[in-house]
Amino acid sequence: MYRRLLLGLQSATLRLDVGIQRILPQDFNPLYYTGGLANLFLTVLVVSGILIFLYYEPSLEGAYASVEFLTRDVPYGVVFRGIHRYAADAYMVAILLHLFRNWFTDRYREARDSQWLSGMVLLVFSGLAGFTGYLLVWDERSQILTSLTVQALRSVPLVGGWLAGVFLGGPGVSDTTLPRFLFLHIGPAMALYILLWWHYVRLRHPKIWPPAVWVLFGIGLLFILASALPATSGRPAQPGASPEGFPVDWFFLWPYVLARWMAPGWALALVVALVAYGMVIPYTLRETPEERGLRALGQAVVVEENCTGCELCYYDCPYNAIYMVPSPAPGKSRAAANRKLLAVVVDSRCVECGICIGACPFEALELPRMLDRDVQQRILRGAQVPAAAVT
Amino acid sequence: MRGAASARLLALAGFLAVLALVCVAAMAYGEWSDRQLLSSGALGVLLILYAAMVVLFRRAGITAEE
Repeated sequence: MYRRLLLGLQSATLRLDVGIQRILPQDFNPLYYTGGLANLFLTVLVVSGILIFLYYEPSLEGAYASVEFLTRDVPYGVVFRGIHRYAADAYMVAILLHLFRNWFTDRYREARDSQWLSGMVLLVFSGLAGFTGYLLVWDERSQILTSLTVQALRSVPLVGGWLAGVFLGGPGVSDTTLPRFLFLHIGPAMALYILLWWHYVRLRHPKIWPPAVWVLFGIGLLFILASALPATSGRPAQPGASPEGFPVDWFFLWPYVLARWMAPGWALALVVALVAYGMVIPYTLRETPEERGLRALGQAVVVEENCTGCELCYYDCPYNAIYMVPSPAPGKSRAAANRKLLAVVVDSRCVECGICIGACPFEALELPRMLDRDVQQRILRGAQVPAAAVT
Repeated sequence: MRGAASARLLALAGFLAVLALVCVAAMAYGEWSDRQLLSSGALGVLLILYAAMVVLFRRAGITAEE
């Protein structure tokens, strides 16, 4: 059932690609650049965040007033605030599209589990940075979110009280609370760039930035949203008051909506369970190549006497599974006699895709268990030609 | 791309360019009359029009790449 569902989703995702490419040139398909779009919106968030930070005062008395000053009195302050607000939503949309697309098209298995796991951690840190942004305004919504978060954290067994203290910067809301929220907003946001390094380190050709068309469209859309629906604050937080209800941003505050129907602790447990499930997705329904009807080809092997050190395989391998090292001895073929470098395959990263074999004009790489019959089957599958049609 | 279809796309791009000029005027008016949301909204529309024009040029076969 689960397998059939994923196959259906994969088919729908690929059909969506085909549909988009009827309208847009192939290299403009936004679904190819969901990661790049997330980077674009993250950059907008950082730039607009720095501008907002210049005016923000992290104190119980000054936070709300400083945000209002930025919104009402600073030239284009309302626009920068709106851009920061909507870029966060756009960022979350981009990373969710990225997540689901890679999930549905099976791009998380085998050697790609590193990208999947780093992506999940990126998602968690992004959610943390996003929701703490709502606390910084220190209006009624911030007050409710703070109260619900403290209730949820206190319900954690053993360490709940300590977690709530860390969240608030003390035993209760005090002068240290808003600086703590500011840290919890900016700290995870800064960590995103370190996590992005982890996300990309094993990829040879990541698309880290979208085409100019989508940069223009994305930034244009943010300006329009920030102007048409300006970001505003609610009423200022009042000490001791217990306001009810708040405007919901579904991308960041959905766990708090759940808290209407369940105890905040259970809503937190649900979030933790979802993240834990996300982490194990690459290891669910894992099939061997034989179970998928494929022959296990074995990791690529360098035929040392033929390698010329040309680096073509090194640049073409999408998984960073090939490194070039100083050649310990000359090759035996005429082309390889004067080589300076030698290709080396990192077995743990090789997914047996055969791209390096296609890249090498010197027959210096091979998949040890790949037979001509396998090559023919792959070509037939790629061309969608019935096997019976080939004699 | 055939000449007639290409000409239609270029005509559409030209129309968008005229709209872009209107946006520039709206930005200037918004700044002059202190309507900041008008200026920034017009800037947003302008950027999206530029994006659409790039797509139209591309579909008409006009690219910088050879």
